[in-house]
Amino acid sequence: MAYLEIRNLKKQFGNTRVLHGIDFSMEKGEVVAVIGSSGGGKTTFLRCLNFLEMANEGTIDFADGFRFDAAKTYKSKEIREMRLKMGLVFQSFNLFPQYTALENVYIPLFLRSKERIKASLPFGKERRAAIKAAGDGDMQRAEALLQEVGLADKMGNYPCQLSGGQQQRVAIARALAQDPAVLCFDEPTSALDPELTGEVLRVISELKNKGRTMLVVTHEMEFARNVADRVIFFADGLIEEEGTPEQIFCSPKSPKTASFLKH
Amino acid sequence: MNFWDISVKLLDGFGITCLLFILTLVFSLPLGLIISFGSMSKFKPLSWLCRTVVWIIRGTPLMLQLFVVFYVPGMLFGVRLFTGDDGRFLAALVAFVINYACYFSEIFRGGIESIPKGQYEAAQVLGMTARETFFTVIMMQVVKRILAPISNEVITLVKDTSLARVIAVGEIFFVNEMDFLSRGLVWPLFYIAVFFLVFVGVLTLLFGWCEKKLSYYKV
Repeated sequence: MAYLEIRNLKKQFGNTRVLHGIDFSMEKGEVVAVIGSSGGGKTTFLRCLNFLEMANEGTIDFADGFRFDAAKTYKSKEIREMRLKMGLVFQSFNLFPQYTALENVYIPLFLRSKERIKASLPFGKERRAAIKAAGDGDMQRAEALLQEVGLADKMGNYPCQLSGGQQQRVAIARALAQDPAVLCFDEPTSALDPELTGEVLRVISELKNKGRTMLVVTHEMEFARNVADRVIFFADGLIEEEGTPEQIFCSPKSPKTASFLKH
Repeated sequence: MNFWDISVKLLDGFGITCLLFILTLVFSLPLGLIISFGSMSKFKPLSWLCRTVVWIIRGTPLMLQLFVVFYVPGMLFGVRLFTGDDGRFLAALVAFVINYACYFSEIFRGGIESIPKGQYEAAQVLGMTARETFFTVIMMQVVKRILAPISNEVITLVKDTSLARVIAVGEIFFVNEMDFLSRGLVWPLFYIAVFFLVFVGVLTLLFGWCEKKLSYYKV
């Protein structure tokens, strides 16, 4: 069984059908680039995978045996648990402006640790001690993650004091904190000045070398060609073509792919 | 009537003014937040109800509301809810709280709705609950955004407290009316103005300080 397996995923908004039945699977450690023109459904696909939108039809199977089935209804607690299996880095970073870089990574992580401890221990001294220990551990993890993305010296800075590239790297550390099975990127460099895209793409490449499973919606064709193991081309709500970067970029089979890549 | 006597009386009335001001804030701010959640609710009857209440309260004079709260329970149901000086004060407080909660609720709603969707989505993908999202992510950003309109409203409240006089609450105007009406003294009026100016001046400094405290980040 694949690490992540999506079958017949469909999504529509009102009468507008955006995803027409996506079949897609990923292996552990694989980096898949998603390309295609705007309005093709790439972003909606990512949002469905992160349960920001609920798919209307289809299933998503995770490696841990969990299956999301669009036909079922889920409680909000279950949806939150499902969301944690996936990570998402946004085009516009969406850091929390009132918190420092370190707090941005630490706070969401600690909230979940706290919830887990509260569910397992009764109110009392033991629980307080466990929460404190978890807080210390989470703080160390947050620091380590920011070091990993090269921001050891910016931990105390607020997002407004960081460049776009640095903000996006904080966002990557924040998404990594809860160790998602698949880390998704929604055009992570589209909001950046050209000279800042490099540092973000470099971090993504480093994560690939560490074995992270990643799904990257991108307009950076160079990146898709050089870093991705596999490229999928989205057109009109369907996966029009998929293959290795060489297949897609050098000898695309579909005329739609060829015409997209020509521009 | 010398300066000293009038000062004592003014301070006495000023105490009531301050108490009315502080208690109104203490109750109307949380109530305003609840009403703003109500009017943003996806449950249509609730949001419709909240918006109608806000419309009525904002659409009628505060003075009228003071009369209604104080007199109508007795006139319609024969119960005298508010008796004595404390009762008058309580009636004024109830009217002020309802009135200001409605104004605050609209400021809160504007502030909450101005927070970009991305903030909610970022919190969601990190597994936060709706409550955590509001209290750890959204609230402080809202506070920063609404500080200026809130300070406007709070300063208006300082001066609106003088309306409590219409149901004979012994605030600063009521207790000094005799002096300038029957004794023909003009200067107590200016004296009262100084009290208000100082009060509002202190509040302005306080809000300025809060704004400065929150200027460490941009939203």
